[in-house]
Amino acid sequence: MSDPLVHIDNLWKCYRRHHDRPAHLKDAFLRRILGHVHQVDATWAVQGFAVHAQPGEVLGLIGPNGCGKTTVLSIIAGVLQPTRGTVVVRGRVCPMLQAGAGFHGDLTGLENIYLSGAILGMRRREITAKLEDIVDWAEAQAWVDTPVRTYSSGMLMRLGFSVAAHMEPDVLIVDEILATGDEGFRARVRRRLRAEADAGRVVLFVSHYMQEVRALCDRVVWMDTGRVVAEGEAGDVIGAYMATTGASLEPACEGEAP
Amino acid sequence: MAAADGPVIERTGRRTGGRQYWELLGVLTVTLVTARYRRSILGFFWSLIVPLFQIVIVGFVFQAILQQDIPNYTLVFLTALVPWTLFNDAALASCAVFLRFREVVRKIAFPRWMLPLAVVTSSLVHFGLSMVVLFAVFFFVPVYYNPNFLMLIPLTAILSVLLTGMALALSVLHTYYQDVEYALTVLIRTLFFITPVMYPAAQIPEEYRYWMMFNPVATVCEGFRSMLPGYDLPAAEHLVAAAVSSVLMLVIGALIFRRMNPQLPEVM
Repeated sequence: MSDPLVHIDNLWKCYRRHHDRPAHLKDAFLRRILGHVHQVDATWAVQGFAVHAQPGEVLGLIGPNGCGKTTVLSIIAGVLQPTRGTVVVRGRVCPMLQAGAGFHGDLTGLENIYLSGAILGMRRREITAKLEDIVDWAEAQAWVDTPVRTYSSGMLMRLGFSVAAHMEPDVLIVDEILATGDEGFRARVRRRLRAEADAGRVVLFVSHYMQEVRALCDRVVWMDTGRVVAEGEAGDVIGAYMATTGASLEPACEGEAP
Repeated sequence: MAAADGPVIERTGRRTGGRQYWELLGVLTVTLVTARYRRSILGFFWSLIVPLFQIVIVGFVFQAILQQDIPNYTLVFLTALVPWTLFNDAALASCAVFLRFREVVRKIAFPRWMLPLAVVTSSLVHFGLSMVVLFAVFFFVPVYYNPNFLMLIPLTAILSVLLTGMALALSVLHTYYQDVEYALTVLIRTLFFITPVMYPAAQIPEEYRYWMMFNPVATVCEGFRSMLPGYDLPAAEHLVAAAVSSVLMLVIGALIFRRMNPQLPEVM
């Protein structure tokens, strides 16, 4: 077995509640003057979480809203700082954004490919070389020259996914972004993610559609209140998780809380 | 492994740096420049129409109402208004830049200091276009090209360094405390009146003039005016003070940014 690309051990993340932070200078001054400097109202979003992923693996992350999935993925992406624990990530990480996030509405699709590609860490040359593939994969030839603000959410999602999918990252993060895709597109995304994994990458996949998780993931981690509840073969873990929710294997409808 | 207090983070395969950073800055600059005018018909010309209006109104107030007689007043105002507009635009635009790119900041790890930097560079693009227009005006009015024109380069550099420091500090501070932009609006308005923009420094009473010129923006604006005949460069001590204070602002801005940047995605 090769070295894991992602290795997380005993991960802890503490959020200080938002009302704890003064939202205005006035509050900041008042606190300083009145001595209310340390009114700690901490929430531990991740409590001793551990996971590792080998090259070639599609790893599913499931659990109820607010269980810490997005926090863990943000830490892996390098956006959030962990409070405690070990985080080892080998290689380029590419987070896939919610439909169209990171796009600028007044720019055309083409201009936005360069913008989000550059923010994701691609070189201009690299983007130009892959431009045709990106547009083709998104099936965007007809509308890629129009401003992004006129796009439907499905169009935004296709283009956004296509840019990220062509980045050739080592770790690909797919956090509940496919909700607005039609079935045909979702099937293409699943095939694409499977191909990415077969090319030796790691795909971290979050979804509330259990059928999709089962169809795609080799291994699934069930998370709750920032801890690992169970981990193992997709069918077993999903079955155990669904038993606790009392639902059948139907897609859940709500989106993920940020 | 013993339970360590701080986190242990190990990452490989991060950005290549160098060229990639320049390209990112380039793309962000183009985005900010085009996004500003893409949906307007007159586009860039708005950044000429606005100062033109200002000049007409202030010129009327000064010459017709206050009966001040400053020869070539339009040019006297215009030459200082160009650098002032750069200062005004970049400082104000830097406040909201992280909130404008909120989704990206919350999801992608990238060199975030690029965003305030791109605000400065995109304002510099507008400044460059305004300078082209200014020199086009000089083509029609008789101006004697003199060595002071060369001072425009170091003066622009001083202003850019000052603005980079301000943008770094203001962008993170505003994300934490959203009254920064309001406070800055008031501050800049005040500064506009105590800076020789709509009046030349020679109009300031002698007893204040020396001290008021220690304002780096005043030095830069008055320095730009020295292109015109009859106007001199600011004193050497004022130029040195402006250069030193702009570097100081850059250091302070970088320190504030470095201190507040890691928690930025959590407070947005």
